[in-house]
Amino acid sequence: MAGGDTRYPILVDTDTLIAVANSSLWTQITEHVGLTTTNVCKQELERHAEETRETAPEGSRPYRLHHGSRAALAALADDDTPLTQVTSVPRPHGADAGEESLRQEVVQNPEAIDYVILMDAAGRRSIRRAVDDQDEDIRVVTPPFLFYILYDNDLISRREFCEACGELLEREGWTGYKAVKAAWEGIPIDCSDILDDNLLP
Amino acid sequence: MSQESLDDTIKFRAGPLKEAANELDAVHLGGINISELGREGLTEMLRRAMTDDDKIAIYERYSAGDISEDAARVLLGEEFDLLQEDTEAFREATETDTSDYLV
Repeated sequence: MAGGDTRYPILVDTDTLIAVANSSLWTQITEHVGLTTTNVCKQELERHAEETRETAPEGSRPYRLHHGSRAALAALADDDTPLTQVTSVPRPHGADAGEESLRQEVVQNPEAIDYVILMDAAGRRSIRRAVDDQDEDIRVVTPPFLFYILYDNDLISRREFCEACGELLEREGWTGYKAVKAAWEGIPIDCSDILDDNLLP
Repeated sequence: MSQESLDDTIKFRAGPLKEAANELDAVHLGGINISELGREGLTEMLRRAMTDDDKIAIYERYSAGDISEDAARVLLGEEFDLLQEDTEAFREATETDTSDYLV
């Protein structure tokens, strides 16, 4: 965790952290981009790491949950890494507690947030509505936005951006497809010469 | 959905389905709209029959102009609108100075 009370204006959920921690760009993200999550998301990461086996078949969902969660937790514990957490009060419970904790943050501390990044499309809509209700200028976007920040600042190449999007597409199925497709349509970066045909239209 | 597509008919052997629908229409207070139920029922079953891979293929076919937006909406429902919202949000997000978020 970054020292003191540092908080960064990009708020990320559990599944976003796991997805980017499993990507080839995790090192660059934890080196260059400031991120904030919640104590509730941290607890979800801990639960994933405990409930899934380290020896799950490589590439399986339990494998990704285990190793992605552990990588994200290691970054949270590292003072030199710009990943920090805020405490959500009251602490939400249940299956969507992580997402709910982000929604609470948006309502309670809107001035501290510029972007909210979630893996779940319905969750993004729910938080977008919370933002609209408050008339705030907070953008709710898909996880490839973190890859885009690196690309936009010349920290990675177009190839690296495309490959990270391709990884996400393959791993996350329809969920990842929606996230990556929205990114490609929102910013017309052509990945057709880099990705296999089966990952592209 | 356009009026033209509403006028199209789908035919299948209804047999006892037709009898059941007519019976319900007769006993239900105010009757039932069999055509409306048929459209809603088929929409629901089409969506239920789709796998995630099917959804990806349908959206790709829509993007390539091979199927209409109306048909894509029947199959993808709210997911279709969520994708459009996400695209717009991503576009807006890339118009800001992203160097502000580097540490």
